[in-house]
Amino acid sequence: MNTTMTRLVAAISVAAAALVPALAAAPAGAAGAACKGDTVKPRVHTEATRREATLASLVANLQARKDPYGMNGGQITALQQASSGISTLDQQIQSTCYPTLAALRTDATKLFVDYRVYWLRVPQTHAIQAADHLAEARARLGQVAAKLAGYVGSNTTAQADLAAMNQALAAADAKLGTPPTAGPSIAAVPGLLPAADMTAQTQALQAAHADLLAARASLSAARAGGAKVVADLRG
Amino acid sequence: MSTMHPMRTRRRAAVGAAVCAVVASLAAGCSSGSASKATPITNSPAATAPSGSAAGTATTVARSAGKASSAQLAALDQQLNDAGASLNDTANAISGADVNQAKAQEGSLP
Repeated sequence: MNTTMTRLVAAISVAAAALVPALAAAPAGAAGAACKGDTVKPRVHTEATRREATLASLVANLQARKDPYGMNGGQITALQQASSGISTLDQQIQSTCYPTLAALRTDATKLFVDYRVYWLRVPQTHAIQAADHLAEARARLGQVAAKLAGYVGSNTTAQADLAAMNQALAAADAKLGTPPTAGPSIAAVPGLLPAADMTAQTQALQAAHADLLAARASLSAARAGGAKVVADLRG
Repeated sequence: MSTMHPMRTRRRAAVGAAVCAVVASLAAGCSSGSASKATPITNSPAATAPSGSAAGTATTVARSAGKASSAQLAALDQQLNDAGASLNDTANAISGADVNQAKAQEGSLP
């Protein structure tokens, strides 16, 4: 072998040696050293699946309600869109070969920040559902109060207890609103959207939660007042 | 002086008795204010009839009596219990609406 040929063979060998690792890394998604974060992917998938199950449960709960304030339909759509988006994101993450762990994290973070399933969608949906239940209780108690008004006659004790019942119902209305119009804090809930900074959303949800608690306390007082009136009339 | 046939006399007496029975029945219906009449008044459009109308007067009379039967009170008890059940259902939903509890479940990447 002459000198020229020897140099040529050596050069080809060096080039081939350099090419082999590059070829091994080329197929995207292939199990190679170039794909980063594969150990994190199962965790991401678990989190995505958990969120999809939670969203499905929230949708089922809302679909079973009467929707006196007309808030349920839009919320159900938002929940279903979130579930669809999470499913797509999960599939994308699982099938992508990420060159760096940072790239995987960028996508995976969307699962937490872009959807805010637990920070926003769960309390938001429960607030809507709670208002729905409270409106149902309010309607029943209103019917009872209307009937009691026909029975109290000149019974002053019954009159006073009925007045207290009606006052409690009015206090509940001030927080809860009157169907189809929800109270201000509750009406604001369906419009809340996921965000990186959740300060405003958290405050809005806290305000609605406080009003729901107050409305429930007032309705419980109204129910107790109604029971007193019935007892007065029996006495 | 005219004389009346005995048959005609009996017929007149029968008609008179029937009229008296109807009048008495109507009078009892208006003035008794019995509890059994309170519910239909409260729930019917008569309860919201303008004052001065016959229906409005009837409502006033019934309400001033202020009496409800034990069956009506038992029905109200049931409605109060139903409202209580709705309020109990609300407890879980309100608990779920607590953002401070819910956001702790959000988690994060390892």
